[in-house]
Amino acid sequence: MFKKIAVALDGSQCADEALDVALKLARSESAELAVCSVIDPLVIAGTTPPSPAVDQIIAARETESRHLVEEAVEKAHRAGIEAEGETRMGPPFDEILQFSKRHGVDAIVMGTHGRTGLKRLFLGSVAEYVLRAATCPVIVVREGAAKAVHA
Amino acid sequence: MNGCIIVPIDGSDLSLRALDTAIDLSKNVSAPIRLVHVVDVSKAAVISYGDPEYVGGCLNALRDEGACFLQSACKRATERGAWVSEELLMGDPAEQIVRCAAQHDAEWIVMGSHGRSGLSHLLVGSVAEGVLRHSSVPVLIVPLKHDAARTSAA
Repeated sequence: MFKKIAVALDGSQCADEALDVALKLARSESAELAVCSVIDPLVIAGTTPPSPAVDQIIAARETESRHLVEEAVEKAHRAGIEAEGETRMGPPFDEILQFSKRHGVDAIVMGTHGRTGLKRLFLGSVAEYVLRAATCPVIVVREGAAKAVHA
Repeated sequence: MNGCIIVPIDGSDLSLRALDTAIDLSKNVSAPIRLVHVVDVSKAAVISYGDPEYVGGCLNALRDEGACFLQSACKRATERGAWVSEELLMGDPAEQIVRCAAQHDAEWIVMGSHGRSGLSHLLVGSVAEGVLRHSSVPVLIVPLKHDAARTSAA
């Protein structure tokens, strides 16, 4: 049913669990995995004017994101799942949707809350926007939900 | 045997489309489907204008309606070769769906973003919202804008 599944990572616990769910789903569906990690420059820099310090932080985050994606792709390969990944820069929800479109995925897996999510909100803003705009099924994983899948 | 897939059915087209997604999923993960309809008790109170004389009748009508929804959904799933069971519950829909998933050690909940009573301009309906908020298993949400043609062609 699902031929290609997108998963969005940001280094949060919740996104790690989303990756586990995506891997399991990809395995049982014999689907490919498309891993994406988005850096939001606005979250890092806010409205401060461009400066070398901001550039350094963005560069560090970029390295970190690339590492996250590489790790996830390797993990998929070890599980015998075809996978590719990409690091993108911009508003996360928009980038996740564009990424999904570009890779022609038919499902998106993501955590309810990422790094910047306030736990008291029922859904983080990124998940909320993706749910609102996606044209394919979205699998939302709450922190702690992946355990159920492993059991 | 894997844990089951909970599919809430409320009689809406979207809940049937979610069922179709769940049927495909159930074959791939070899898990049974459990169809659930929740009779919203507070709705019975509203449509009977809180009149105790009519609440019982309204509840019965809602229960009959729910049983019909379940029956036709069950038929649809059986025809497509899924292993399916059904359950009619009473109470708050989101709460009952989450409770049912926990009780049956479900592995997934598959549902539409909006039910019959959902205002489609809301980002997700109140039932889906409640389920997303409390579910301890992954929730697969089928959106209103879901390109059904692409999925069935795939």
